[in-house]
Amino acid sequence: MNVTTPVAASPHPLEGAESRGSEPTCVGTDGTRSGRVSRPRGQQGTSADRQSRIRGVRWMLACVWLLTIGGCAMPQPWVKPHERERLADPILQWQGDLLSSKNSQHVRDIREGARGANGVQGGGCGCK
Amino acid sequence: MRDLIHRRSLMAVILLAAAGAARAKAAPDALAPDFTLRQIDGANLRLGEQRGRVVMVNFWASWCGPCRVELPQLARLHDKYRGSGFLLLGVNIDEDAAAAKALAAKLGITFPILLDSKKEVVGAYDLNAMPATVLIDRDGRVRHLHRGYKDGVEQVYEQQVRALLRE
Repeated sequence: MNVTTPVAASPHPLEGAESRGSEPTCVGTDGTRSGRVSRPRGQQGTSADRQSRIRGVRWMLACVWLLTIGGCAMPQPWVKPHERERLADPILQWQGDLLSSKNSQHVRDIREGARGANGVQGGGCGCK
Repeated sequence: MRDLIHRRSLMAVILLAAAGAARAKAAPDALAPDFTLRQIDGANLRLGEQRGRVVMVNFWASWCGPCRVELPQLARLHDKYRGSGFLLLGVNIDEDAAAAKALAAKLGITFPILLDSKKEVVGAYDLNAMPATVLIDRDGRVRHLHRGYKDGVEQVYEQQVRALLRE
């Protein structure tokens, strides 16, 4: 027959953890809970050095990041006028024959009573 | 003290990054970005070696309609002032140099045509228009920028060239 000892409910969650021994003690020398393992007086300087080193590494990473993005161009999704050579190709026109398409457009204007929205002027070179 | 060093190093890095991001582009009263390009006949031409002359750099392409209208006007300007210390450089940005040669022959252009098929020079000048014209004085400084072409602008070109030649 197994006898189980009832564990009293701890008023503070940390106290239960301490009793189970899963976490290092969090009670400092002055009795306050600091959230860190208390170290002997001789090792306090080492911890400060470590923090300073971490800060230094963070600064260095920030510097490397800044230098890296400094070399990048700003994102430019638009096409500049001097880059529109292929967009200005006549094959990109909607209509192959300008005269017949004008005629069709005129007929459409008369019959449908519709006008405009037939495209844009220019060949796409961005010259205007 | 260490914080101070960190702040100073951060400032230095920001300034370095800003300097790296800044590109040399054409701006009034600034030195014109130098370039060396191959001419249509095969010889190289460097802008920096033209100091002492009033130089007009015109960026054009065979696929650009207004450029075709502007080029004969520029050829007339070049023929008129070439003996007075004026040089007109036509920078063609066609991918295919044969198209530039054909159009230059068709329009009877006599001024030097430079080939910028990789679009490096036009990108460095960054004028955001086609055609684009830059007027450079005898000291190599940009004096006038013209973006695009409008009818009658050749008269403005002529006035500006004459003024620069008189300096």
